[in-house]
Amino acid sequence: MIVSQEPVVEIVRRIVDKQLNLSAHGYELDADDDLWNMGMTSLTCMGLMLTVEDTFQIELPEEALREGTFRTVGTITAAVEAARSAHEKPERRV
Amino acid sequence: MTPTVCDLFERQVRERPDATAVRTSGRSWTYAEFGGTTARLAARLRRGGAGPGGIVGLVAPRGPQALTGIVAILRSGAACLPLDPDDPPLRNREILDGTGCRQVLAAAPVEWLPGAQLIDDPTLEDEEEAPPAAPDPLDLAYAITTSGSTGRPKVVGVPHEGLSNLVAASIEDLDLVRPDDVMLWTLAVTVDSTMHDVLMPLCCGGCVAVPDPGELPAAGMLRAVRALGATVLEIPAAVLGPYGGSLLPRLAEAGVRLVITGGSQLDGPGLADADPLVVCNGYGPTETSVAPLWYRCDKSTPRWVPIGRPIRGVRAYVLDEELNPVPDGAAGQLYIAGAGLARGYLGLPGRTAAAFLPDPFSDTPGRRMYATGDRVRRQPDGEYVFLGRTDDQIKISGFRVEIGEVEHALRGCPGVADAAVLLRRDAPGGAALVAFLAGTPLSDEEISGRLRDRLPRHMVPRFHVWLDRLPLNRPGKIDRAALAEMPFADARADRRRTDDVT
Repeated sequence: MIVSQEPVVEIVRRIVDKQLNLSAHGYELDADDDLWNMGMTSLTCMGLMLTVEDTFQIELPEEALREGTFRTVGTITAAVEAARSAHEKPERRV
Repeated sequence: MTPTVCDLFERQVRERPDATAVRTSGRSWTYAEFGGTTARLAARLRRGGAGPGGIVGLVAPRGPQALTGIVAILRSGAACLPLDPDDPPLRNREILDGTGCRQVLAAAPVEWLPGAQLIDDPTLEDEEEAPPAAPDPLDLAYAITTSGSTGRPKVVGVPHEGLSNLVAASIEDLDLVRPDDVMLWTLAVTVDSTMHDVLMPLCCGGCVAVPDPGELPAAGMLRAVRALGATVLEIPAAVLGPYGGSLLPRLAEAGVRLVITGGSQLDGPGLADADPLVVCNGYGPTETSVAPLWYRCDKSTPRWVPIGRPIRGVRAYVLDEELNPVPDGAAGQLYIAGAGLARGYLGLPGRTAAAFLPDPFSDTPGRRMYATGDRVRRQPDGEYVFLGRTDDQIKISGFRVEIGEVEHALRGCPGVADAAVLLRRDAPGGAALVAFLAGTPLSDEEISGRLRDRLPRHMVPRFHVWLDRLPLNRPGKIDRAALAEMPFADARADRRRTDDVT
């Protein structure tokens, strides 16, 4: 398995930045900035979800498909890491 | 004569009473059950005076009740006027009054409409199933509210003729729906494509699957497809263009055979890469019965997807400003004639006459053609390609918005001396309406609050930029090109930079 050297949070930050077009407006994203307050719509949120799933080759579980999961770079990162560890240790899945 | 959607539905009720007509995650209704429920509600409406030539309002979010309401209103012979319960009451009231609509169906009690008939009223059980009121092909089937450039919404009245022509073409020519299909209802009740999406399965013996109201509707789509076994669904071009490459393989894997799209220009890669799933792109303004042109994507489809060719009974003309045909390959305005033309804008004969012109190419006197306002060209292979608008109408999330209506509402706010609204695709968070304003600044909250009393949510600008004055170009008009380039979202970034320094 190829493990990217780049921390998950940095990859997520880059995806969010591209999806929400933030750095073009001179905005530097913090891990706890509320994306719903930064103009994210349900459409851009879906794009975010699909890009995250494609990039990390994961499928977010149904219970993660909530507004709260996509609220910040931090919450998305946590969801990605949870989905990854569930994938790596299937026997631990409940 | 083409049968109406009421005739076709009633035939399915007779011929396949035990087939599933409607399905939710909680339960399903056979054609016999759904036929009975809608017949009783139709009878109640008729006792209240509804019938061919009349209009009945429908105030309900997407759901089994709204579907019952649509079919019951059509079966009463009246036209269905869907309204969004979340839209401002003032606007909904104006629309009901302007169309002379006196009867309204509602999914839940409506504060501003105490006389509304509830769709799941338990006393309906005792209602007799009166014989159906057969609407004439020229009676209105539905009426759809669209944004109006002069500041007031327009209500487009569409006769049965146009709807049944589209449904017949969808089933017999375009393969959009089959009797064994499960069609997932994804759009809002107030969008005319909903009439097509929910009625065509019911006209051929298929099933309409109604998803649960979700917190994250877009992401919930895949879940709904899997849970309800959907084989066909509509995804707005605004979603399918950017995300189709990622979404379509997942939908194909979940058993979807066809994705219908439309609402705005379809622009995106990978639309034929999820074989055997097929994407069909429908084009058309509400004034021409949902979608009179259709295009089926294949491996040769370019990113900027053509809008296709006219369905049966429809004629498309590409004309210059003198209404002369332009040669194939040349740009001109698209005019639609034949089956499917709306009656016009209800109560607005002048605006109707301005958009529905006499058809100079028809031998039958009195025939009309609709000026779409869309610039197109016809390719040598007969497919039409959309090039842009001839006016400042825009599409946001698939909703058609007349910029003039938003600007009119802004100018009605105290302190606003002048206003210009632009769709900025480079906005933070994605494409957004941006209001450039001159006058005495109001807070964002105050201005949004005032607009929300007047306009549907998708028409309320997400950003406000106050300028000393709006830039003018040489002829003295607002310089929209300058506003399209103007940086506007850096106020927050400035605040942020200050924080960083301290």
